[in-house]
Amino acid sequence: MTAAGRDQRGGLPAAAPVITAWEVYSPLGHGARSHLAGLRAVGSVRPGPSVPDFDVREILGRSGTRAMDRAAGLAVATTRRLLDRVGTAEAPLGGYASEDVGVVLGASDGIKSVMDFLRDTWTRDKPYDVDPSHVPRTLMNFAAGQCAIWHGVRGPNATICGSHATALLTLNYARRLQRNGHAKAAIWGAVEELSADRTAVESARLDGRGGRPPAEGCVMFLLEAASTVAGGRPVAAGGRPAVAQVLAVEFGVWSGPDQIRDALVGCLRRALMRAAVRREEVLAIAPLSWPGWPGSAERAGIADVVGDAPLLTKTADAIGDTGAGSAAFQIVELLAEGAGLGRVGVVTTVDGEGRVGCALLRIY
Amino acid sequence: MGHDPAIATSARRRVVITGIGVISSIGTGVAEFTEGLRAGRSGARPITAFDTAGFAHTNACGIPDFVPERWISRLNPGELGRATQLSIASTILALRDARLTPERLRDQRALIAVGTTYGESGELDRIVARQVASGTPAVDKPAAARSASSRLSIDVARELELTQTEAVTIPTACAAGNYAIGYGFDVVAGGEADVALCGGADALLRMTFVTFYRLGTIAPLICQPFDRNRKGILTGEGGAVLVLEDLDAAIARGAHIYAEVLGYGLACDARHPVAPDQEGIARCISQAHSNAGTGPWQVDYICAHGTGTKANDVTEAAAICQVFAGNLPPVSSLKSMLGHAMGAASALAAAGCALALENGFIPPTINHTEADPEIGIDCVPNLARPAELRVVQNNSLAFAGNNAVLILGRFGAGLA
Repeated sequence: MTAAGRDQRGGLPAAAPVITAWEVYSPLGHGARSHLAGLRAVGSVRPGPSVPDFDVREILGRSGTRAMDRAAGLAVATTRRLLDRVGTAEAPLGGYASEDVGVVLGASDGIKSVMDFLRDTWTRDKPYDVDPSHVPRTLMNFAAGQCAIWHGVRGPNATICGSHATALLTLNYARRLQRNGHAKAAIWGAVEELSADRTAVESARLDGRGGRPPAEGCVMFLLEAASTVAGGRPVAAGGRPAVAQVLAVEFGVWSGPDQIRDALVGCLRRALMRAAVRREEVLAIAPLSWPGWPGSAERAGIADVVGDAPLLTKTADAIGDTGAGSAAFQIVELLAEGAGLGRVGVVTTVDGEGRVGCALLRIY
Repeated sequence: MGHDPAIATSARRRVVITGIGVISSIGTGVAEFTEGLRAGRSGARPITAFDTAGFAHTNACGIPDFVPERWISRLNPGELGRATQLSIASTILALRDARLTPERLRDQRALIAVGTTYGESGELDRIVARQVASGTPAVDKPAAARSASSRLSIDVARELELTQTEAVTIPTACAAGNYAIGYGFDVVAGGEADVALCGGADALLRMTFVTFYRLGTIAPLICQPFDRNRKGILTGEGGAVLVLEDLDAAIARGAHIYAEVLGYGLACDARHPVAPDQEGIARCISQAHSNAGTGPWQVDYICAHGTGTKANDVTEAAAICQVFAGNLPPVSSLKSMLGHAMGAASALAAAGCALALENGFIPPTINHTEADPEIGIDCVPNLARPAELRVVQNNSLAFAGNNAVLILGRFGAGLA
């Protein structure tokens, strides 16, 4: 293995994979261009918590969408935009065979779909008097499966769940699928939908503790191997230049609020060591920045390791809590901020359940 | 397979199973579970977990005597949903079986990967039931706190007070256990963690029962996979967690080695949200063989997904026959004994495969009365069969076309 050396302690191989494209539906707009314009205009515009003008049946058509929930609609539509960006009529998956591409989607419990289904079991004549077409969407892997069906992606299909760390866990799963030969490329990302049921359940979970107002959105990325370098920038097999290279993804666990800071410090130090990145190379950090003590501890841990690099929190400040999608939106904000610089951006998260996590990306 | 993996399979570390934790409807712990599989015990019993008034069929494979307080000490079991309780308890059993203490794991790099189908949807049912009964939108706060499926993984780490741990829930429905074990294999084989605690957990839920009842797939009394007279599934519950370690580390600490994980494959049908697809399953089996460096002729036993429904059994058997052609090994279904424990199912089956390798027997397909002429396999009817197994294959298929196939080998069988 040429990857020995840095890889000895289980680090990333020398040829770390690259992100070559991304797409989004967010409260700031449909598509990357609208989202980035909206991000620049934050302050002068005030976005709502939902993706505007997003009706699943209008966006995707009336065929095959009758029983599709909003999360699946967002994931299928975002994946379509991503594939429009990298594919052609002859090569719809960017030059890859359908069985060589995986789909890895970060998602949370489909609270609305499950509760709608359960309401029918309690309010109709018989408990089993439910609509069978509503069954598939009550399963958390429905949206990822829909992405595969709609876009003909036959490689590994996985769904990943882990509170606000979801998108970082999803990135790591996608990275390992590619690294271990299960797929040559992975369409990965994370989705969260807004609903009254989710708002009510999450509010009850917080029970008076501070949080951000719930919001929704989906980001999908294309992750593939870097095959060459051109002009100091890694380029993937199909000639697509990297927008980012995944240098490290790390996690840790805290059991009490007083452990968060140390857990994140350890996590960041392991990531920097694994990626052989010096703290001076860090351009900016996009933290989850949850209101109250989790965010304070996160900022303290960041300051301990990387000093006073700028903290990017504009997306969440403007949109709200995109739940499982949070870290994906944090990555997008980093990409927007650091484009073209070849510097390292860091995403951090401290979820309310016990996870800390970070990703180091070299941004091009 | 034409893949060009970043890690050559030859450069992987070898990964072995050094601990097994099982909570099932036919027994808790390795000894009871092994004896249950060998004896062909049935976990079917009347449902007590929820009110079955109005349903014509009322059997399932529940675990009414599961007492979470027996295993969970640091966290308060009352603040955990049942799937999370099963996940934690199975992990604790697995660690004890592996003779690993939480203290020893505390500063190691660990992966906790827990597969599930319904996660903590049972808590959402509590919330809805109370809303309907009270006629108000008020949300039951303790149930809301328990209702996050993301907790199935992280609460294991919190119970054990681990620190350098990646805790992920993998909700890929009824193939989730195999997904989680496959992920643990990759992470240990690639040197990215010292130990992986991976498997699956699901609770017996009213929601699951209603779902499969409505789909017309609940059997009246017993589950009869591959039988001409099969009438569907029995829902079930359970937890199963494997401890995976690098072979050298396992040998260095004198660990007992149940079996070696040789590899796994994933493939998506990309066709139908609920119906299985022969081509997708066959492709997944071939992917698994390729990843494990084995061929169909080396597989001595297939632990089938084998739900006992018309759609599954015929399609799965056809896919197996397509890949194995003239080399068809015995194929049995543990679901005849355990029911369908959803996201735990393939983890329970993986535990069963490891124990079959270790103890030299093939678990039977119980409740067998008459072979289905459409299914040309040897389903090991009713009685366990002594067999010196070297390589076994564990199939799992899920809604959304999520297929996962795991390949285990007897350690020291000269395969690697």
